[in-house]
Amino acid sequence: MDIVTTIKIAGFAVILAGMVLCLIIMRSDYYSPVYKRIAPLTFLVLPVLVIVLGNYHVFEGSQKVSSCLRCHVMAPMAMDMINPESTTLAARHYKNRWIAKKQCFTCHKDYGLNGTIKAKLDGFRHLVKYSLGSYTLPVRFRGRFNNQNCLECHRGTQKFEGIKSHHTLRERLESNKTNCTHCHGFPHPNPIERHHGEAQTVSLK
Amino acid sequence: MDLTRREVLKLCGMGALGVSGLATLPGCLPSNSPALAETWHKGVCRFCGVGCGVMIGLRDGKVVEVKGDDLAHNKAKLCVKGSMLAELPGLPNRLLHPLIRKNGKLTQASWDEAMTRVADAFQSTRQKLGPTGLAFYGSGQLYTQESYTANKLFKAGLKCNNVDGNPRLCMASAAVGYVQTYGKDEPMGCYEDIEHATCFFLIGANAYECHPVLFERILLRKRQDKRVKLIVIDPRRTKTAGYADHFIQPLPGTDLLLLNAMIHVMLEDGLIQRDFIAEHCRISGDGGASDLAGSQDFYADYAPEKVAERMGIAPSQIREIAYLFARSEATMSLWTMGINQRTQGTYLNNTLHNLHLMTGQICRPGATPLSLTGQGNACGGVRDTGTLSHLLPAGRLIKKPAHRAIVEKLWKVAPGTISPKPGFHAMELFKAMGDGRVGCALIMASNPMQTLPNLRAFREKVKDCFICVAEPFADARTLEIADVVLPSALWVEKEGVYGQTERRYQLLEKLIDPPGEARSDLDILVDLAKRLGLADLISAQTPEAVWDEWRQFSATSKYNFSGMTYDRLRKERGLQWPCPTEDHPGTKRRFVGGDDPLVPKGKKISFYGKPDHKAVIYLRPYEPTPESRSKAFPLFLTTGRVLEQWHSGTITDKVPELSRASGRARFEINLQDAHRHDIVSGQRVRVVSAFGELTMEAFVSDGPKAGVIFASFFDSKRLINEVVAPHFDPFSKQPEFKVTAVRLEKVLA
Ligand code: SF4
Repeated sequence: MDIVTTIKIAGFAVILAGMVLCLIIMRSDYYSPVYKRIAPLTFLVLPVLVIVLGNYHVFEGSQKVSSCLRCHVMAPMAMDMINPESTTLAARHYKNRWIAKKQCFTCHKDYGLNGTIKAKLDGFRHLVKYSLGSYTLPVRFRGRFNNQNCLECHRGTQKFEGIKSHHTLRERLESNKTNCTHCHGFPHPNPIERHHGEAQTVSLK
Repeated sequence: MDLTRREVLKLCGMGALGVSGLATLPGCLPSNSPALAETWHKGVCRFCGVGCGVMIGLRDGKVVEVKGDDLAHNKAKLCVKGSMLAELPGLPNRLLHPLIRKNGKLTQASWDEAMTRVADAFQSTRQKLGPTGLAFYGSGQLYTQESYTANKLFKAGLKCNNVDGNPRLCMASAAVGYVQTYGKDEPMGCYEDIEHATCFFLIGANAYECHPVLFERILLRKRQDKRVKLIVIDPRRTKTAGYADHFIQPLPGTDLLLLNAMIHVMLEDGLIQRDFIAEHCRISGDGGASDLAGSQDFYADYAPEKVAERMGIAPSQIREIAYLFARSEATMSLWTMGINQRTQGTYLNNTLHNLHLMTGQICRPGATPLSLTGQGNACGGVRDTGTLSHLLPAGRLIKKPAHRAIVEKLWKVAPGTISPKPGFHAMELFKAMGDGRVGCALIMASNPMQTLPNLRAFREKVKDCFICVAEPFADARTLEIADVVLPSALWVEKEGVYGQTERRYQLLEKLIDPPGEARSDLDILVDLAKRLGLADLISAQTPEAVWDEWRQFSATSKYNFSGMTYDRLRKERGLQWPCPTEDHPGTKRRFVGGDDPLVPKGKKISFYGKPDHKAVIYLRPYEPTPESRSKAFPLFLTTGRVLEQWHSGTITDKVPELSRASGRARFEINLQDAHRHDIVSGQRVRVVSAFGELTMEAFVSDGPKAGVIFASFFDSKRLINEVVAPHFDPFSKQPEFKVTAVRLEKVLA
């Protein structure tokens, strides 16, 4: 059992135990009135704990490619990524194992603690929008891709540093003024090329 | 507090829902970092002939961002030049007002003053020298509507065929090669062929630097399928060559020997497709040979063992690539200036087509010859509109009476208006401007005083000719010879159509106003027409009106793109001609039945540009270049482009990120030659030819073949074209920038 699963199970066990304990305290005459007064506060703490743990579950789960693949909207991107024939940036990173696991998340998290939280909140926002159906197809990336997602791996490599314009554009790249994708293209299929597959989807689930 | 179990669960659930619900409120959770642009508009990169689609981001009426268009053929990819397009409108040194030369100095003037001066010069020169005393020198960077209008104004309005431009310097040999072999200009293939090819034959093309987005596409294809082979032929070990499976480095000026030797091998080893040749080709030899037996005799002189040594390569290399070319499932040839800028440029183009025709590597997905175009609108703007001295629009020729008659009818001018004598081609034109045969010229969107070969000779002589230059930048070298300078709009400051390599026409809409008093080149031409009393002829005066006229004109030709309405161009990511009706999707592969609407029904392939629908296999003999190495000039100079700079650098050299990346122009010298001359990198050296000399730093590398020096022409302060020889191809009249005999001298500090 990995650490993540252990945390999840332990967390739920603690919450459950807390709820039972709280009920016992409130109903029993054995405990002093001070405890009886504190016990209901648990009902404020518990929802927060549930959310934290639930979201932790969502956040951790959302790092897996299989979770992106389950989403009807994102499936075409993931489908393309796992297609060995595809030449998109995402597919080449996947096929060549340039990123060995959590491929979607690795490129869609922003580095650093804040970035990671932000990326997870982005994912959470997507989940809510998806669940409520408050989106229109084809989905379009409207923001600015954070170059740090690329630079974190490519910066310092011989290939990257060997391109003169990477040096002269360094400030623009670091500040996202020029996006890596401006030259290297949209990493996923364009709206016309997107499709939902079946066979591979199943194999990844 | 007494709570039931049910109430406890409800409370927990509601709490969770409440907090989660916050996420749906706008702004409560952060979204992606905001884009700079408020609105996005589709457009085209204004640089090279790849013609990448771009999305242009505007905020407060200014271009703030440019990215690749994922719906265009380039699938959102751009090279570094394209990625810096957003900088263009803000570049320094823009011309804001017209200038007139007074007492030797260019001084500010009003538009009326400047245009009156230009119109007066045109009128007086016409009176003095007749129509042939006038000239127009255009560009593959003008919009189609602008080139079309200039062509009509000069050839039908002023009865002057001295209409040429910088495409003469870059694509003329390819154009003449297509016309000779297939009867019509422009390639039959398309970019999509890259995804089907199993062998790429790149000759005289440094695509890594000059057509980067296409080269990336080739590399992707290669990575996708390990069987795909890349053959690169270049006297320089370019970055393109670094990716080759087979790299051959012949001496400059010898590659017709190589192509003929390949055909020799194909004939000898039975690698040709006799049935294809019989059905679709005609053989034509200079000595009268008209069949395969005659071809065999002709190519007997080109056995690899006989010619390889003259090229400085091994015979086995020729045999190997001949086999790969012929036997690959689908071979795609790509070439550009290394083939075109040659005194045998047309012959080289013919012979490249021969390779495809003789092996049947043509008119199938992935099997095609595809000449890479240098400038963004050399194809659509100049070649297709016939804005060259020997052409009329849509592939018609000035020297053919029937062609002149059709064009006169379409342009609604009296029969006999168009002069039957072709005008001066670029090299002759500047000579004529120097010797008084041409007394007044309009130069638009071009910088010939940096890009013509044997530059010094031209610059000294043209000073007596009245020259008006329409140009966006104040520091273009051509302004030095101008009597009047007109500030012109750049890129999205005006509107027009660009036509790139694969016959794709794309619309660029006007998004911002030009700075100062700058005007579009179309507006300048319309104004000139009015002042010359030709407003009736130039009645189409807006980009859309000119396009409609030209579109309808095309319906009478094999270029038929009358289905490309302005409305369609506004919506679609370009369309490929032929496209004869408004519901036609455009033609990917020309001459192929089922794809090209002009192929007769029931035919799989038809080279309909020729009356018998057969392509011609011309047997072209090798002749040494006029520039031979001697004791006085023991090396060859060859010139070209670098990745970060566009042509004469007038635009790109002002973008600091590009300028710093390219550095200054320098001489790239082979290690052995450097050793012999005791030269190290960074040292100043002088390169001298029979035509001129230039001193700049040396860069010692194993790039150029021993005996070869390379230099780029982007640097306006280091004019390598002052050293380059002025010889040109007798058919295409394209100069041979690639071969000049030189010597190398060490400059002592
Ligand atoms: S310069 Fe050429 S390859 Fe580069 S972005 Fe522009 S059109 Fe594309």
